[in-house]
Amino acid sequence: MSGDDWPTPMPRPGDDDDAGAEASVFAVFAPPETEIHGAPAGAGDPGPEPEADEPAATATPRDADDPVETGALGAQPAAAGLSVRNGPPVTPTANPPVGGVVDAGGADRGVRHRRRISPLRWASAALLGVWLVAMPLTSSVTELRQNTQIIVMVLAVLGVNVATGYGGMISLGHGVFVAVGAFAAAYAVDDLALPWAVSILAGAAFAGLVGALVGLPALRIKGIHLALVTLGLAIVFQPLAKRVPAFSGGVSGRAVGAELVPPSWFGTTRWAEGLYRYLICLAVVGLAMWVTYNVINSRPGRAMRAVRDNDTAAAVHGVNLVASRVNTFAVSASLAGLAGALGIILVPFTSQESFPFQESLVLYATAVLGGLGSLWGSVLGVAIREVFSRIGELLGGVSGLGPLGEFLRLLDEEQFVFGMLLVALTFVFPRGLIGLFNRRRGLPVSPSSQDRT
Amino acid sequence: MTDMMLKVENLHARYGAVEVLRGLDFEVPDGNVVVMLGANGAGKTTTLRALCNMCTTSGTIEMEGDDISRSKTADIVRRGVAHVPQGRGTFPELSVMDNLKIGAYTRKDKEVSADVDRWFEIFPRLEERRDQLAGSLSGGEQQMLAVARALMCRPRLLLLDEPSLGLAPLIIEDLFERFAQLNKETGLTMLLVEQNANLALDMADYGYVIESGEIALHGPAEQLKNDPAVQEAYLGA
Repeated sequence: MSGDDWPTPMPRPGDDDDAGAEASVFAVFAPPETEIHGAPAGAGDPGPEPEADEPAATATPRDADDPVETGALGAQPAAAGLSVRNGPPVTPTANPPVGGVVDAGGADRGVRHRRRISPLRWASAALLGVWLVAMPLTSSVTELRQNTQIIVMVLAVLGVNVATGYGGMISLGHGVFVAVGAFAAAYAVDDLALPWAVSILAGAAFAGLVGALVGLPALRIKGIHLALVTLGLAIVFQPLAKRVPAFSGGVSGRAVGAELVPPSWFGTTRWAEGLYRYLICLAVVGLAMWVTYNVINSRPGRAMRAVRDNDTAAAVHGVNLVASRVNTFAVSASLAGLAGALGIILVPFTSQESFPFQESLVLYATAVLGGLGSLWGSVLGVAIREVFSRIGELLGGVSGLGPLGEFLRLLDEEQFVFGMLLVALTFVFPRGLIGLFNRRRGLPVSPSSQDRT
Repeated sequence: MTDMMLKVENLHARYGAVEVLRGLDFEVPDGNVVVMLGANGAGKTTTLRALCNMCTTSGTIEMEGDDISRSKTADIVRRGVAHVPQGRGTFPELSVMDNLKIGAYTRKDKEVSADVDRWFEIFPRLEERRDQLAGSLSGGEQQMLAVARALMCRPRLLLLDEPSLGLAPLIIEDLFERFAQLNKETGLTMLLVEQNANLALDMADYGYVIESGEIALHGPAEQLKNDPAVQEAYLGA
């Protein structure tokens, strides 16, 4: 077997280098007998169905007992094998025209797999873009700050999403990492007098470290039990933070002395200050999302998702489950920590009081609401929660409608709206709101890894 | 020694307090297909897990003369042991492409995508569905994917854990034909765990029967096939 231009699964000692052996390996998969299951190689070729195979085939899982399929499984390898034997196997498209089947497949592969962006996606992206530009221009200083805080919260929700949606580990304690990120960044910028950029990164990194430690239980337990353990940590956090005033400011919290002010050319008004912070936060959130996207699609990210889907199968392919789970938790916690660190730019005060364990539950609920296992799902979750709570506020402000008015006033309560949102949307979009955008990938949701061991 | 791919002596394995394997001895000669038969709970799956160091074991496991019983799973994979886990074990929410890439997880070379293209030629169904989530494939396609994924690490020993489970008879036959030919043409060594004794013994060179964690019977496949005890227990004769 000369060279490695085809997958020799077993480079065995003593194999000789003749081309005959090369061809015969492909012949293996093109035995004449396989044709008995279906039509002869040429006719049985399922090639000419590339169009039909787009969305329809995706949505409906094929029936294993379908005899047509048996034919296809058996017959097409014959065609592929034949075409390969006609020339040196370099790339599928380099085959002579005899292998028409393979050529056709290769030629339109690019076209077939290019995703068309749906109008709904266009509209949502445009809406988000317009809002990001128009919001600061039309907001008061306070509104601008509040909206920036909401944008920053996307990172915390994304953190939950990485652990639960991509890593398959339910975390009901991510509020802890937000708090740790905030405290660490405050400590760095005030007590250590580090520059803002360094302090924010330090906050994220420290939260990541704490996350790796907290992630250790995840090595032994899964599913609902891990959920309980993380919830326990979230509950323990507040009394614990009160006892370390040097770090957390104790019971009363800590004020942040350092202030992030724009350069003088940017403007000196409070609104310009707010805009400056908004832009910085927006840039960091965008950058963090981009980095997360790349991590998830990298080799360790693929391993992370494989562990989520089936840890046994991931392990037999050499994925180190311990390392993968700890890494996942660290990445996820540092995203939450980054959110906390950015928070102290916006409000120069942080306290354990802002992080009751309920906050962690809200983060988890928001991640699920938007859609686990999707970056945009986290954005969507935060957005929908906010939009509905503001609609509720508007409706709740209407007066003089008698009993209906009494009900509408209920909508003024953020908690009521968010709770109802959870109740309603879980029925309609079990995979989260992102399911609205990803219809074609419809599969049952499996946020936690299957317990197979 | 050189013609023995795997030599296992006195293999014990336990899950907590439960001892599942109680001193197994078996061998897998290079280039052979060896089948392991046994009822549910006999310890077949555990044997394969033990070989990959995925449970607590004692005893020696030699691969080509080297003891691998203490090696990490990743190192065992690097040595060329590929495992197709029971129930196919595809990653349902990963694309077909990502599934294959996990198969090459331990590889650092640059030929991974070339190998993907090769296996796509051999399993064209998978190429058509390369961007689809593996969970949306049919049972037969998923088994193809699991096998292709295992082959992505360029193995020399393929461990197959009940590949026939939950598949239609025609698909199973097609699958076993491919295994047999893969072995015949490339000399890929296989250790096959099965309940479908008929097909397995047809393909295998040698067979072992496990009962409650011990080898109850072993011999050349032909001989086992004609053994009255095996016929009664596994072949329904």
